[in-house]
Amino acid sequence: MFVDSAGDSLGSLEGFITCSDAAVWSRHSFRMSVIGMTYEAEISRVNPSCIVFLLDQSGSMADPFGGGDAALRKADGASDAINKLLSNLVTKCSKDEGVRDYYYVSVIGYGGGVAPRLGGALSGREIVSISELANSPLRVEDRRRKVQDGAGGLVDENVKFPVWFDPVADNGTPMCEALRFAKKLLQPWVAEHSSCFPPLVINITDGEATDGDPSGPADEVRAIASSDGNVLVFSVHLSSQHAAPVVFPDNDALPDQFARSLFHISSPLPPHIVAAAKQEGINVSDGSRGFVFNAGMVELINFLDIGTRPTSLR
Amino acid sequence: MLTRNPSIAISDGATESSFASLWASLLVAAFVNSSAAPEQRLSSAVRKGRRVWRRIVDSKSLPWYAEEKRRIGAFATLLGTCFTEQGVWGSVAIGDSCFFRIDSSGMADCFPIDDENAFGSTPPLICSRNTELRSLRTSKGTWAVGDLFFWMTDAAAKWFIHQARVGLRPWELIASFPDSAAFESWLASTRVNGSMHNDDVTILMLKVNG
Repeated sequence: MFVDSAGDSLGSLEGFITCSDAAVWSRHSFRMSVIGMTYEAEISRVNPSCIVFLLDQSGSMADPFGGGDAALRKADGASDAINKLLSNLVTKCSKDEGVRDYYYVSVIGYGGGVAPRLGGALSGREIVSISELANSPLRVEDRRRKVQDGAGGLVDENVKFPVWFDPVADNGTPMCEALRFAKKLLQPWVAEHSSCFPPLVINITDGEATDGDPSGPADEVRAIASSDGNVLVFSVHLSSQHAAPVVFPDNDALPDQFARSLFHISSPLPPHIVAAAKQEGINVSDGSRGFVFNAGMVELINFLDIGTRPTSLR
Repeated sequence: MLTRNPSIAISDGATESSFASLWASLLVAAFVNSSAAPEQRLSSAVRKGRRVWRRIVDSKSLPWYAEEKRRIGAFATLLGTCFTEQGVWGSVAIGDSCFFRIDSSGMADCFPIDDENAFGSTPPLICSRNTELRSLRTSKGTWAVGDLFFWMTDAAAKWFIHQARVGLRPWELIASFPDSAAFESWLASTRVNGSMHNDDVTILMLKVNG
């Protein structure tokens, strides 16, 4: 993949990106605003950021993960992982006086149609602030987890597990329509928050789009930009095969055409995410994309944790 | 002439933890209301503050997202100084809140941190859920009429140490503000020009007159 740029380095850069696979060359053009450093904005109450989950809810998501997670349906694992991340995000934003609106969040499911999936009091809401999320979980479950007992052993502990949506698995995979929905959501939001840390779209899928080539719609989402950079699109592919995961690859030498197309629609990792991944012992380079192929639950949870790390919350 | 032995304390609560401002207030109140020597005051302030904090906080009904943080507890620094009539001061500290004594020669005492590069993002802190006291530091010295004392939270202390190191007299600047509005306006300008880290700032100043 190469970028051939012409024009001034400050202001607008029109670039041509060529994507290749074994049979087809296609050209996509987009406008990227370059105003000095990017992906450095401090996230604050006056300058919040946004995370959009696009969640594949097609029929095949009812199948179990491959390998060691074989007892767990992909739909259940994905909804648990997202609900857990939302809970962690709320906790990160909560102070004595309440929950600070450092983030806005959207959960969009795509399967039988494309629609917002938050439940309960937030039903039908396309985008909500983190404080609204905190105050209206669909329900809070009592679950048990293992914690250190202070004497070298593990003991069961009751924990509260808030849930904002339930898993769904039905119909096809209208990924293009989901990406267009994300664009429709983010264009006005970024226009209103023009110096935000760029929003992050996380696409979680177990298979190919059934409504066309997602590259065009993904490029249009990534073309939306704040003064701090372009919207990030990350992709997680969930596997039902017993296959080795590929985590944050920096080139498209991948098992198949589907993996390559997901690679090409995924944004490069911003520097602080590269640094966070290295700290966790993950093999990444500066060209690594926000993409995991053949993810099991562990890879999914780690990806969501590292991919949503902020630069700083003020 | 001192009619009693006054003490002054400052505590900086970690706002990521829950009920940190309550914890900081309890630590300071317990420290100044004690009559023991500085190091004993600190440990008894932690024991007493912890009992009161738990009584208040554990009885509250909280939303789900505050319960886990309550379980973990509140964290804060504590810096306390006791003065005697005989011209002696004694200070005790856990964390990165700092004490300074200025005399006619300039900055005479600087405790517990004297290097602007030693301020980090993970100072030792006192937790409301245990009585562990890590990295407790003590110091003492003399004072005289005319001396100026400061107690500051970390962002201000780092700025103060840097200013003094480059040959300026930041104590004169702080002492020159006629009111809190002037101080706040100056503080906002330091955040904009980057000379002060964008964090909560508390400064106490005491001048000993004859």
